Amino acid sequence: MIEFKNVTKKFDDFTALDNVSFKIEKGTAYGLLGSNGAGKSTILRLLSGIYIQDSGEVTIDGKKVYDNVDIKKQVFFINDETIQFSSFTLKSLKDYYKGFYPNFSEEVFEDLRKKINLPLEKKTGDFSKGMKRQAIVIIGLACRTEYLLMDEAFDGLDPTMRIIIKQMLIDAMLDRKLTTIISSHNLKEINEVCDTACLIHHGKLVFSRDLDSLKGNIHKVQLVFPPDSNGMARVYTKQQLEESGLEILHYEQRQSVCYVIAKGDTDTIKTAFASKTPIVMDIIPLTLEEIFIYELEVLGYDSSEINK
Amino acid sequence: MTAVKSISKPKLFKNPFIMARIKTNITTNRKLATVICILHAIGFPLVMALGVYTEYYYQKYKDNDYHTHYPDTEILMVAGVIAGILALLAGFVVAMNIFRYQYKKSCVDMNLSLPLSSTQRFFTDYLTGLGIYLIPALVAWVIGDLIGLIGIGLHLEDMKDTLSIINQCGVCVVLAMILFYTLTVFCITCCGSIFEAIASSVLINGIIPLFLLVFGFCICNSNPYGVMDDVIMLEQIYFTSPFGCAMFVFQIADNGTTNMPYFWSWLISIIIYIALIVALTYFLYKKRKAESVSKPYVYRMLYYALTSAMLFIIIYAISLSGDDFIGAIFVGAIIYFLFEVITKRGFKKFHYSVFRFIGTVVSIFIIVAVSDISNGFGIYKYVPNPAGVAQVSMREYGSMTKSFNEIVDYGSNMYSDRNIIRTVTEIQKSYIDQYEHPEKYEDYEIIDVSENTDNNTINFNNDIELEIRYYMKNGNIVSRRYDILYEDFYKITSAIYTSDEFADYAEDIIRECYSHYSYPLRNITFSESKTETQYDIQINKSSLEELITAYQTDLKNMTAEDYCSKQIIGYIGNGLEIRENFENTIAFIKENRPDFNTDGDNFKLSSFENATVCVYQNVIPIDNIINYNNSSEYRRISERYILMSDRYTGAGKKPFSIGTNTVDADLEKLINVSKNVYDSTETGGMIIINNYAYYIPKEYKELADKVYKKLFGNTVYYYDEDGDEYYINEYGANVYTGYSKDKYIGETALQSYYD
Amino acid sequence: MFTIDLTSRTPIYEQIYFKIIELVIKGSLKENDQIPSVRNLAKDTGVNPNTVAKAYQELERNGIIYSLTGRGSFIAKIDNSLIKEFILSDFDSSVRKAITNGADSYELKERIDRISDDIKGEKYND
Repeated sequence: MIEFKNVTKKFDDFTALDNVSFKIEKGTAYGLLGSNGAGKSTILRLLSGIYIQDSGEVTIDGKKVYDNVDIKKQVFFINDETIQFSSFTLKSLKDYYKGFYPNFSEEVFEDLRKKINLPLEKKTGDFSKGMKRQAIVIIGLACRTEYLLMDEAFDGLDPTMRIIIKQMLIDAMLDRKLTTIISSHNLKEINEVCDTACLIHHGKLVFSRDLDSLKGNIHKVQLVFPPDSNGMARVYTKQQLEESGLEILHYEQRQSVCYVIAKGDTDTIKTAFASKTPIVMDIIPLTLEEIFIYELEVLGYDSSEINK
Repeated sequence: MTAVKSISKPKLFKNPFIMARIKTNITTNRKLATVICILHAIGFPLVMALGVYTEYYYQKYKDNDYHTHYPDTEILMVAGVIAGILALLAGFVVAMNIFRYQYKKSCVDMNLSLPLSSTQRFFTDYLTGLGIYLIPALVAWVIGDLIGLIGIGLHLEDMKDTLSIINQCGVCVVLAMILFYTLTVFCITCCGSIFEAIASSVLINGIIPLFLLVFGFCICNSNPYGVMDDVIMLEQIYFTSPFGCAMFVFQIADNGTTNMPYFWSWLISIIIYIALIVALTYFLYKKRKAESVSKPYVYRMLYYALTSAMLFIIIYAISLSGDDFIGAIFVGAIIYFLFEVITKRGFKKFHYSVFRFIGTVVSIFIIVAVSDISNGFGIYKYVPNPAGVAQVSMREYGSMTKSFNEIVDYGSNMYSDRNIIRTVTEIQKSYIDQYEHPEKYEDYEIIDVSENTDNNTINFNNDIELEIRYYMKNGNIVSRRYDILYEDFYKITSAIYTSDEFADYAEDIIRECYSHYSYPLRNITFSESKTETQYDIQINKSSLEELITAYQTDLKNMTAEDYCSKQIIGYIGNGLEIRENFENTIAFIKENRPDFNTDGDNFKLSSFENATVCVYQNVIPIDNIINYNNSSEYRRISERYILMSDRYTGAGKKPFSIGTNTVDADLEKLINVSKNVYDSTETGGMIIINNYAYYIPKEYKELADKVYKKLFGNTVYYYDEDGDEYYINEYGANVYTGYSKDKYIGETALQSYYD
Repeated sequence: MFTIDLTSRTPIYEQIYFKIIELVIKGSLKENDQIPSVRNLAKDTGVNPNTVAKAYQELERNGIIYSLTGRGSFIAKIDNSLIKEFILSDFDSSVRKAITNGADSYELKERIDRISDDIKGEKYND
């Protein structure tokens, strides 16, 4: 299990991570979400032992990561830049990593390589950008580490490759409890691949939660209340609606319809509004994007800031 | 300190990660490694081969007229040397390649995410790089040595010595290479971007030696008492930078193997120095953060150190060559701000740069001021502990005439006798003491004799500029130069002459006389003092031993007082003194040449064709007030006159010429009673014959007066139309004094006489 | 058999859960029929296996499926009342909505009969 406890990381005056705490269980596919510069890459680099935190603890299975060979050999980091050793062939690149990761599997490597048709003896510097990404991803998978960190790793992969990689990940997750941590600002991707995610914004953790329970716990509700004595649909203020105990992230009243984003599952919401006897109550789940927008809004951030 | 160790602690080479790292370092750099190997192959081995071949060719084909034929291998030789030099410089490239992840951002993730602790990574990278750099050089060295052995096999002249010097130089070169590489790694660790890494690594090699040099000048220019070296920091320069090491290599190549203590001390110093740099670099490396890459400087101290040192060099060097502080500061400012702008990538916070510049310049001035005030940071106070001194040597600095026995050029003789060393250090201490506390010595008056024009008086130098060199047990060499009184000087020389060590030297000298000077006849020449008559005595093997034993016994029996008082009645060879109380030696001489006059009173005017004589009734020491600013400002005046016969500095007023027909019993007697070794507090006279000065004791004052009057008393001086001074002596000769109305005392007097 | 709409607002595990139930109700899956393994379903749909696993766990908890180690997961004995309740809960919310919006119960009953006749008629015509 990965644990971040009150981790703060600053780069000169810029605070990349501010008192961030979360846990990642083994065997999960964990998504790191946030805008550019939010702190996602920093988290990954702290986990791969490249950076050291200013305060707090970064541990895997209870042991600190930084400068710890035993922990680092279980972690493979795929960064968001194309590979460095452009004069290396794929073979020599594989050999480079093979020496450092004892669990490396030639079969896995060969299997993947053949599937996507990467040449062994060509210089990786001559690969296309997509091929370069693919190369490092298959090496990372072939290393069969317990933790695989991917920084914007799915970018630059074509759909075929994506499917292949996903299937590999699925097998690995089931077979050896691989824990993947993927950072992306592509919500769709995270939605597909990950089961848990966290949102980092300006270095702060907005939430870290199982995606399904995230979705299940927040709904868009459209309400029309019965008319009052004047024949106009009744209107309740946000505070009044919150009296029922619901947390309301967003409230909008347009003519007779009340649009509300509320936290809670369907039943809770139904029960909460029942006392107000709405004549129309549509409870709709939100997309991931919508969830994030509204969560951030609550925290006072301008939603336009998390544009991709 | 280090990370959690894994459960089974693998040994270094069984650690798979370290092995993987070594392997990757080598594979990544295989092209560079190949180039280095090739350069080394055509470097030193080629040069050696050419050297051996040339020497062999020369020895085989030289003809009896020693016309030399050399094979035409110059171009190859030059190529070989260049290849060798390039191979040496490759250390910079190796370090830059191995530690690329310190300044190239795209390499950071790949290298730092690997399962290696920073300790493992540092040492593996450092040592792998060093191996790539050094191992080909070592192989080339061995090959070169093998070629040299072939040369020995071919009986080439001096091959063994040359080879041993080459090997000694080889050790120095290897250490210089390690230092060069280590300094580069250090600079790379302090920097975060490629330009700064290169600039710092290149500059540091020049700045360290230059700074030490200029700092040494600064100390020297503060006139530290007794410290005369132009390059004070030389020993430090030798081991602190590769350039210094190169200078040291040339030193060794020049001086051969006579400098072993020097060598060991250098070796220890440089090893400790390298170890310290490695330790510091490791510490900085470990502390370094991955995100620092791409900053110009990760550790700005290096930048500050380099620029401050550079500023110091520029300002001091420019102002040394002229008193142009302003110009120096101006030039320094240009260069300083240029670096600031480059390093800061622009003009942001420029005011900080200005403050720093001003601060640095002020500090430089403060340092120079402190140096001046303390006369070189008190370096002059240092007197070595006699226990730490291995040997000491001395010589009279820069003098035309020897103040001591000609044959004993004791500049090249090194004495390890404890008494000698102790005497020298005591005297050094006393002079430093008088320099620091001149009030203790104020009882003495300074006699200003510069206006003395009395014919009766001779002024002579009361002091000698003595250069002392201590060869310390740890290999350091400490040199000092002081003006010391002859009184004190003779304490040293008497310690030397009464030491057993000198007795051993004397033996060597006598043997050399026997083997060298008397070829082909086995004679040793003995000369009488005063008359300068020479007597050859034929020596065979057994009489040689006899003579040596006799002389050594006499020497060892001589006491310090004897040394200052017993007359020299003759010399063995060119200058080994025979004193009047050297019974055994005298007996030896008398056995072989009974005509040898051992009483020192054999002087006969008739035995000289020509001589010059000067008589002075008063002997006054000159207080040398010149040269105060660089050796001593305070001076004791000696009350004692200790004279050795050849301590005559050539000034002569009005020498009297003796022609072939001159006969004068008084003059002869005066010469015979005067002493060539004199130690007294009383003023007497002096008589100078053919540049040898002899002291006329007070009791012979009447005789001296009489002779003086005879020679010079009725002298009439006149000037001819050129203004030259002449006189007519009692014997009727017209004597040109060598003076004209404007001339002054100098060697010209005698010189012109001999013309 | 399975299409998961990854862009839908409905949580994926919910989709899987209800999809299985739908198939059971429709009759496509009968008692003791094997459903795809977590692995295969995840791979086929491109869905996170943990999510699939969660859906299966929920199904198992509610007695819809049962698992045999090493063999796979199978449809359990279908409890008709549960299915009925499941289908009818939708009916209930529709009725509630209609009544709230002004329809009366008599109108609704009429419609039920009409629809029922139509379906019977279709069955008769086949």
